[in-house]
Amino acid sequence: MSAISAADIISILKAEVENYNWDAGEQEVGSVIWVGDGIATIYGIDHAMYGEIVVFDNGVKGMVQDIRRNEIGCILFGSDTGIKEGTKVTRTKKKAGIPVGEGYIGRIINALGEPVDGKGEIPAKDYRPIEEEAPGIIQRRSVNTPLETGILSIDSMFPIGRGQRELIIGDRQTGKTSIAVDTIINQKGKGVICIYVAIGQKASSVAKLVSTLEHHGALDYTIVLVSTASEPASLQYISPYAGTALGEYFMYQGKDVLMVYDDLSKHAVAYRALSLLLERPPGREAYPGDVFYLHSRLLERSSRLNDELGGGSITALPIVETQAGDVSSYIPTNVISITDGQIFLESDLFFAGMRPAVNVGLSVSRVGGAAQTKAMKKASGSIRIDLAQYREMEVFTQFSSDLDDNTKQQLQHGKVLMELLKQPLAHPLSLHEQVMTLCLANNRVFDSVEVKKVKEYQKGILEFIDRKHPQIGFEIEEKKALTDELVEQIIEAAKEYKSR
Amino acid sequence: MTQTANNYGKVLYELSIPKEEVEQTAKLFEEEPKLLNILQNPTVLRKTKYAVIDRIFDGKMSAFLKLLCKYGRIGQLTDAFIAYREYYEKQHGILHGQVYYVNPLEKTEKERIVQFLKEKFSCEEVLLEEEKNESLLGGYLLKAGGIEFDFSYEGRLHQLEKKLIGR
Repeated sequence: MSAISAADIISILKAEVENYNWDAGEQEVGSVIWVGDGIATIYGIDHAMYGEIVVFDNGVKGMVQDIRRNEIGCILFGSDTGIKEGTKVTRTKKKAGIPVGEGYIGRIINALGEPVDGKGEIPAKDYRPIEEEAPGIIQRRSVNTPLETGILSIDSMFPIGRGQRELIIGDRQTGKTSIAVDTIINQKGKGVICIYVAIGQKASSVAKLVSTLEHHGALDYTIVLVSTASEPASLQYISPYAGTALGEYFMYQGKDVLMVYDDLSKHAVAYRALSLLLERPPGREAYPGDVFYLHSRLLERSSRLNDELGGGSITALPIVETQAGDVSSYIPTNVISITDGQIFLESDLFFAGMRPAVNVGLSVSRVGGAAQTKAMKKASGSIRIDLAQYREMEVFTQFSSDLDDNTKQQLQHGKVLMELLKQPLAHPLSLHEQVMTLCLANNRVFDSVEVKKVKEYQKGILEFIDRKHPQIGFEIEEKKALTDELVEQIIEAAKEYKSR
Repeated sequence: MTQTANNYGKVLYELSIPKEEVEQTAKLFEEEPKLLNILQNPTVLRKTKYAVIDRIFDGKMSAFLKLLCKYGRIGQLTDAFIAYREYYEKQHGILHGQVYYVNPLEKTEKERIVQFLKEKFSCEEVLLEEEKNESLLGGYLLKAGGIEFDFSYEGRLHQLEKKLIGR
């Protein structure tokens, strides 16, 4: 870049000032009559819209959330220092929105779309309102493409389709975020843009998560939208909507998007704080009456668009934290009823070493089955029933030592299945690995192995097949089907491995 | 102000009581708070209240005040007067405007402002309040009907600042 002298700058500025078109500065203004706790009451703006952005004299923006007879209530998107009684407030006549664009991929931003990773400004392509209407019935199509999480227990029993909303629910420290992060990591090279929305979380946990994503090269296709616990409730409240607006930008381009909302219980708490400060009547657990609508309008925006609109999708993985495993409290029941299924994580299972701690009995996926590949459907056929039988039998046989051979075999098979479903963090299994594992398990190949050594044996056998018979894995990935010949080939390969 | 006060203000206007009489009554209540206290007092019999009203007021105003006593709304009388004034001004096309200046405005300039406001808000009459404000640096700032028209140097500097830093 050529050097610009001070004189040049002055002359440019002079020309700018001389040619500047002064407008009359016609603005609708009001003044603050009350401010506190991130809320400001303004007198004098008569025509403000609900959800409109107003600008305070010190540059802080606010969103109109309450319209009364003579005044309006605003939530502040920033600190209230410098805002006092009498401060001038100006209407912008614009609804709250967020700048969007491809430049956001790989970046960490706040709820207003500003970068917080210190990597400089982000070029915006467009501006989208944070509150957008969800696609209608005509604009949608049913879920038919799988979104693989790479986690065997989920992909086999509770498959998630692109455009689905699958809730991850469980107590604290049960691995909810880990499932979401593993899913993001597994999207590498699959053309899915991931958006992780952290609501009311510790900055340290988000930093840890970002470094995990970076370590696995997942940040290249991921956007992290953060509103930490120290940020105002207003920013925490808008962050999932802002994230979804960003996701919609990509969805309407025909791309597939994975949204993780971590977590919606903290989002509801932030909204409760705002609602109480805005003097809305409290309802159950002091949440306002529209707390259901709060989440339903958010999750309704996740959809699979029809081919005319590009066939893009937003898959949502909302996370909800329960207290002492109580799924029947207010927010969990709401979100369970909104979503298309839930993955229920249990602390007992977690501490028993079953990780991911998915409760097979309580988890469900209502629409994902339609999106499951034929290969997976065939391979995972009886696994749920086998596990259910095992759990029942396990309780039954706890006190008796004298068991017949058939029961012993079933118990061993159940134990092996449970062991196979264990999976360490950030070790996603590809489709053919999952299918081969399930196929071998169904054919009782692992039953003869000592339970403790099953994982090791599984790893060895999968590596062996991939090395010696790569065409098996290739065919599964290519055709997404599991023929009887393939099953035979897999079993043969297993026998070969065993006889080594 | 409640909707009830608004309604009573409107009714007061529609009773077509001369404005002077309404203003006089409002002034009386303002100067003599005891009167409103008595009319508001629940221990005073309604008959007594009516007698007091009849002694001081007559005609439609007396009937209006009695009605307020009867329905226990006399506490909103002050608000009703405010609502009356607002409604009166709306009906007669009167607009209130404030102009903030650094150097006193000339007569022609003031006339131009009044004409501008009359056209902008399509009103009959403009009541302009003037106030000196040194912080404007020069020019003037006009406020009317919730809208601000900034012709001050300070505002222009602000505009320029916004343009130059691109926000």
